[in-house]
Amino acid sequence: MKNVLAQAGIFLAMSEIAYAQGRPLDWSFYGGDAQRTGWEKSDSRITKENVKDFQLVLKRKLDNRNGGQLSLTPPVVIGNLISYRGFKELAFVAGSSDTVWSIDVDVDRIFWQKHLTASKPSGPCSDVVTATPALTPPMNFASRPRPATAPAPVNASPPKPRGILGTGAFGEPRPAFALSSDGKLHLLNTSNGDDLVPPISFIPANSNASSLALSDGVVYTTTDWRCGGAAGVWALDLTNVDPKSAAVPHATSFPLKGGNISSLGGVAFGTDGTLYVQATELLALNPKDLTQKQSFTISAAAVTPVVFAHAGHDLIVTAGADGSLYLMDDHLSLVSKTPALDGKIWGGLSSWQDAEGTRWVLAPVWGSKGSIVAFKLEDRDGKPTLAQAWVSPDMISPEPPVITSGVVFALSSGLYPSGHARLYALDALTGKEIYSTGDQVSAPANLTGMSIANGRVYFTTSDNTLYAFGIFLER
Amino acid sequence: MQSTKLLIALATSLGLIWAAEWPTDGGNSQRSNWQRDEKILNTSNVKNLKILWKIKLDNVPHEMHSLFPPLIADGVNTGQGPRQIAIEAGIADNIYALDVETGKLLWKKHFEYPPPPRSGRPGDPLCPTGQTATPVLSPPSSSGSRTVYALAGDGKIHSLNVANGEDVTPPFQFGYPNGKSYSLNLVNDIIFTTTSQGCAGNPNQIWAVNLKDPSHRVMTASPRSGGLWGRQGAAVDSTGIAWAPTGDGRYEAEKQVYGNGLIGARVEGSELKIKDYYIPKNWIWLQKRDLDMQVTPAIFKFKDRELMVTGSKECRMFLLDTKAAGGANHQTPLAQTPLMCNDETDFQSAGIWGNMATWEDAGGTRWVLTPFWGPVHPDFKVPVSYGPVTHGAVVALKVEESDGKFQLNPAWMSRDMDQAEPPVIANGVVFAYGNGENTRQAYADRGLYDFSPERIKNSTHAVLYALDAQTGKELYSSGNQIASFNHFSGLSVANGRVYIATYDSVLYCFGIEGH
Repeated sequence: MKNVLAQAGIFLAMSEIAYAQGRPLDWSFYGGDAQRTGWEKSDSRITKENVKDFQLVLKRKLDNRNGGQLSLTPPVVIGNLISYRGFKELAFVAGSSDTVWSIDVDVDRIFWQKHLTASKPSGPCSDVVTATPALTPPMNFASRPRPATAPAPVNASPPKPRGILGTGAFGEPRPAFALSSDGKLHLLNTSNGDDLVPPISFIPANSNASSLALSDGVVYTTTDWRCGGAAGVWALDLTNVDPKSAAVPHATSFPLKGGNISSLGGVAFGTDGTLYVQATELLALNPKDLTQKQSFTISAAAVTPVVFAHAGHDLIVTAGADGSLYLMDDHLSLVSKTPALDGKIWGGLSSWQDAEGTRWVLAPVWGSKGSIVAFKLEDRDGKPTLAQAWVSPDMISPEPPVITSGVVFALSSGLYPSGHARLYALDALTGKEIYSTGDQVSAPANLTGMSIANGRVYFTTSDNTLYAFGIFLER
Repeated sequence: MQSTKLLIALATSLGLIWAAEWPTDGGNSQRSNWQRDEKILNTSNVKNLKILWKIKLDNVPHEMHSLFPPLIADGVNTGQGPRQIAIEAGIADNIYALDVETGKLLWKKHFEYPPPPRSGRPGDPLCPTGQTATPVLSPPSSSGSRTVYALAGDGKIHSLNVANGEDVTPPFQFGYPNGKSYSLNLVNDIIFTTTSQGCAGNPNQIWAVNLKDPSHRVMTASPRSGGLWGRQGAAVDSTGIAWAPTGDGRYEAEKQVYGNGLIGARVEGSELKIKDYYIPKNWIWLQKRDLDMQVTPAIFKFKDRELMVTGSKECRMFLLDTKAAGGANHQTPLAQTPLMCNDETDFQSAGIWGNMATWEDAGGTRWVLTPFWGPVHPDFKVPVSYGPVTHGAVVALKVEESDGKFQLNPAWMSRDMDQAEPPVIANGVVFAYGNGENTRQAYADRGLYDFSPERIKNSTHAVLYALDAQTGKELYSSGNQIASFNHFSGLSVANGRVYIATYDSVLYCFGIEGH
């Protein structure tokens, strides 16, 4: 019996290992996380060695009404949804026709699709979609029921009721958030696309909204002037929404004075929840009430800042219209600034940390010769400084890159409308090209970003096609 | 007719006719589920099947489990003379002995023990407490006595005299309390079982104990990942290797991790050693979609080889050689079928569940049969079928070999059955059933919600079918005669009687009146 007990202990220890290695990954927001880093820290399916073997693993044309740039968002991805139709890895893509598609990415099938509005309002931006959906935070495996260690209760009881946002427990339903062109926020059942609650008024109709983000039960986005609406930062607290109640939460907002807000990421979050948004200036806002904490005046580029922790504090990197990167502390005091690059930095920045602990920042540069430029965070004279490390091969209007397993994935968008996008895999330490999709993609990219999860890199193109390149999964 | 019956009775009593038995789950240690000795039931008379008797037992279901397939022992010398006895095991640590002629209870044994400190979560169908393994019968001793070995919920093996239920030897510890063991197998005095789901912290592995070993040393072999939840436990080949599927897990050969496959382990000295294994090439896909390899294989002779078939929730069958399962790389089966069902790749209510079955007809053709749940795959082609299949069916395939290349060629697919369960073949008849169980574990509005009371409430009733084993044509259906469903149970067939037990703790005996 003692032997048996010992073996039980070994088994339990081993099942912990199994969890850690087999955990499916989510890509819940634009940029993969609230800091908009674009860094997937633990995609064990991709390695620097196998990325040369990437294949086209998904190509799904979606019946979006209009094509063109900004017609589809990149997907957010649930690595494993235990749906009523089985375990699924699902990608959620929003389209300019106010439709959200859920795609079973392992088998390249539409799992469900949901049209969000009965009649799409017309307006100057009615043919574009810029708000990438968002998901509730990744599942919490720690809350999975474990073998009881104490005598079980006598009476069977069903699992506890679950609120609208869920607890993130294993197997629990997880809403997807999507924004329709009438300004309403939809909480969709990821299993079947049904609205979990009636759509909630969030932002003005026909706004040019940025990708949704979720932090501590609050959904955030930004709007700017480009579609005729009011520019601002918007928040909707869903923590106390009762699906059975008629009470509707109201959005709060912070007005912006104008400027080009990047519609890719919109806001980035500090590790303390502070919102960072760049319009005519770089702002830090309180997450609860959107009041202003700090600001930094900059001739701003249309980029979403990136945030990362360094020496116990957050550092924020943004870009100016002059082609420089600005490194700020969490009080928005300028720490250092790079020399101006030869071109415009567009969309957003990315960041990752290598095995040696070196922090890297990546910038997509547009110009006559576009590229990805990589910087290392170095300590010079006691001051963090971004030092240029490498420049990628030439690319056309590259999107903000994503990073995993020591590989940078960069997407050359291609000339619109005649060119075609090309995905590159670069050695994240040197910028050396390891893989390219060549001519496999037949249209320009959508200028809406990339996603990465579980061995696949996703993007959409202006002909309403979702692509994924990655490691082939034998079925 | 009357004289024929008298002759059969006389010949049987004189030992001139070998009466059929069902001494273990699946009928034999190979888990063929083929009753080779059936003489009464045939394709001509099964249309006249009736409920000969049914008995409501005082077994209390635990979660969805209730009664297991009965074991049948013939010619047991009881105080009332020789009897053919059905040994029926219940989840609530009960063993019942029934006179199969009358359906009357001969004796009952209840295993008493203090409640183990650890058990599964109430409402969880995966980890019921109590006796979860179908017992096993010994061969007759030199004196003709029979012993039934049963694994109680506290993990102790009880050895009971089939004639009267008395302990033959004191109980001894084998498994882990509330550990969810699967059907016992007995070969050359070694009892095997398997465990899964880590119930109550129990390790998932193959277990063995030598009855001749006075110390009853517990021997185990672990795949180090997954759970061994083949319904009929392990199947044992002619060399003593016990083969069991390893459920949902990982495969890392260099670390001896064999999840999502099939392992074979043999007792050598006082140890149970893994001797061979098979892992499908797409095991990552199977793990990702929770399409476990969880089907107890069926082992059989084929020409000069010993082969076995197994399957998975993915709904594919694999043909393997017991001498080298999966070949040199352990990943190359002799043959495999296309997907027969589960186009949705669903982990619940679809795919192959339980175990396989196999038999050889008079012409020497080797057949293998599988049940499956859910709709047939749209691309699966079978020469003979009987209407749309949306809830499940039984598929029969022929094993064929030419120039060393093997094939599993579909021959027929049965009518639709509500969650088709593993069949039993007897005298040219396939007995199959739809269990009527609600197998849904996840819902759009609630997510994963595998909760016994909910599933029990939504279950219906089992239906027994008799099919022509050559064509799959329906010869008999029990219609609405069975009142309840069953979960993880099965069929037993012997001497003109077909047994099926249900969740409401009723054991049914179907047969031909007058035989």
